[in-house]
Amino acid sequence: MVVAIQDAESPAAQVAEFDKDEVIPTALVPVQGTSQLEDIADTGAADGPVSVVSESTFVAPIAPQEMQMGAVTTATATPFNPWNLVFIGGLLLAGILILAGTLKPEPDDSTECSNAASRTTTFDKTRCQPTLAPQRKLGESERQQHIAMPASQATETAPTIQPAILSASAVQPEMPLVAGHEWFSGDWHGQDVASDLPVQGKSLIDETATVTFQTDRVDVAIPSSKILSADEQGFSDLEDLLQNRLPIDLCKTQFPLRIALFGKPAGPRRLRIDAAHPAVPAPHINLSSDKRREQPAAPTTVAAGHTPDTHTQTAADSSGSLDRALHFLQERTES
Amino acid sequence: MICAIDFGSCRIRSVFRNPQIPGRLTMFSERSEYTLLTNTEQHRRTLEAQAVPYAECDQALVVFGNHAANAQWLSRVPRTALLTDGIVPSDDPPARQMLSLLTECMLPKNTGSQNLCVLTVPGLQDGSDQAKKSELFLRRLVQMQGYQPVVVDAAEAALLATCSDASFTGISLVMGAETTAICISRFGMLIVSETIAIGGNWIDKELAKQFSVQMFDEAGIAYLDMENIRQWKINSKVSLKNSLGDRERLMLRLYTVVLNRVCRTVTQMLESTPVRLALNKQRLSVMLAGGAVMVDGFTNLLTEQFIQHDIADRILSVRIAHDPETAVVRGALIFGELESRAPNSEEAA
Repeated sequence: MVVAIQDAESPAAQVAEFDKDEVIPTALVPVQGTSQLEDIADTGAADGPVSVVSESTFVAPIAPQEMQMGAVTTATATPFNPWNLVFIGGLLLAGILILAGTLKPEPDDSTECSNAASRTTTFDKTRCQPTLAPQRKLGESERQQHIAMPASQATETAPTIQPAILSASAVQPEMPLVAGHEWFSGDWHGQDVASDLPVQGKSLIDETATVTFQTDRVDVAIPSSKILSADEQGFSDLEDLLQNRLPIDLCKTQFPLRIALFGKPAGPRRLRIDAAHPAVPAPHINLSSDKRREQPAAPTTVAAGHTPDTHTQTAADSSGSLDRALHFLQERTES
Repeated sequence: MICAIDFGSCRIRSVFRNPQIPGRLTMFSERSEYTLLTNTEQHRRTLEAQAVPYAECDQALVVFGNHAANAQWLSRVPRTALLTDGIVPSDDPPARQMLSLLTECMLPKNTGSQNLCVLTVPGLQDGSDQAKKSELFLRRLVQMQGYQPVVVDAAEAALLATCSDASFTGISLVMGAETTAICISRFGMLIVSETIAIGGNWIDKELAKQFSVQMFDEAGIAYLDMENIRQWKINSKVSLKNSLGDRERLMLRLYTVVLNRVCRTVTQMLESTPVRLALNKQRLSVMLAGGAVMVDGFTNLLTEQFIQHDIADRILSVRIAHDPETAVVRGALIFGELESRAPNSEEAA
């Protein structure tokens, strides 16, 4: 049973498994069928009933070998297979449920945000270009009148209107939207579309696809191309600025020749302000009394290096009170 | 119109795209200082004869901007900084008016719908009242010209201008005249930034003090002759690698002190939680800008300091910007252009 599930995608293995058991695994059928239905529902109902028939022949429980081989060979020739009817019925039921689910309003709180988001998006679009929203449903000729469309709208509408443009006459653009040397040009010229096409018609289809794509762009997105080119230009300018590639013109500032200003300028900061000394202060250096008596003029040169910068002292203040104290201390130590 | 203006303590620079040729930049650069002259008829006549713009104040004449150097020979006092210590002076009304005049003359006329001006504010941004007042004053100067002011950190601006090859990830260090700004960013997003109140002027001032490079006016008042030190650095092509003479050796010691403090700050920044979370142990490029980094041997000395602080293993490279003096203002312009694109990007998203 497990092997059958794992090899369900391989018809040969499936056949071998059921040959051995010779019992139809009915327990597996709903699971497998449901998953297939979900897949089909995901891909959309646009695939049509033909694909459903082929899928049903693939998933249905396997009959005995001779019957199965016959069913495989005449899969399209036996439309009244009961399993096919079951799957078609299931598909219809699923489709009805999906339609009912989409049409039903959702009062659920959990989905309110998404709805609000979608409404906001719609509002933004309509706010940007309120008259364009209903005109998207109009024909090609009417739509072409409204060339001025924001880039976001243009890129959104491009895929939806592509079939109509394919049937319309191709209009050559005046200038390509993307230059050949740009890094993303390879993705924009439709090589992916052309690669899926047959090889013998490749050159023609390539050309057609390219023209069609460009037609689409020209019809809708001329303003967007302008916006894109402006952005690209801006980004290249910014890149030049970042790389310091822009030349700098150093200009001379033009001042008025004579103006009047109010107030008094402070001027430069002065290094120091020395107050004028009324008299040369006596030396205040620790000298012994003997030396001071013998060499009265010697300390004068030393005192020049110790001129107080900040403290302005009078001659009376600095007349030797410190010297007397130091002298007293020295005498006491000597004694 | 998008423009940028860098209010530096040494120079004020503005840059914007040429309105006629967007592929070219137009830049104005003026010294942020003025020369004080005695208000006499002879001085006025001399200035007018040489077509030097000047302003008349109370009891004095002033010449500001680049013309201040041309009129220096008429004065016996050194030039005065418009942004003393990186701060808009509150006790110098003519200096504030000169700043207004310089801003008016250096910014282009606003055209178009989006008038954005990115500016850098000098000085220490420590949230003090003085710093706030300076920023508010400079913002208003820009607003008076019809621009919407946006303040950007000098280090962040320099990073935008110089670190494109490193995906805007790394350490940006701008050593200006009064302050040194450091920031660490990842993919252009600022993680942490710091400003130190020490710069090139401190080195020049200490050199002038140590070697008593002074000038005296008529009254015998002494002033430090900083311009003499600057000229010596330029003319002598001093180097930090091979220091010859007492001045150069002292300059090396002073630079070492500054870079020691810078490296301590960088170490703290690298060890901070935001940086560890954002960058883990990623090695970072260090990009240098500012006028003080142009001295020869600066990168070697900084590398030595990184080694001494045991953070050399976190450093990938140490480079000086191609345009160390104008990198900040160019980065501010980049910041403005990115800011102007932000609404469009949000609408597109």
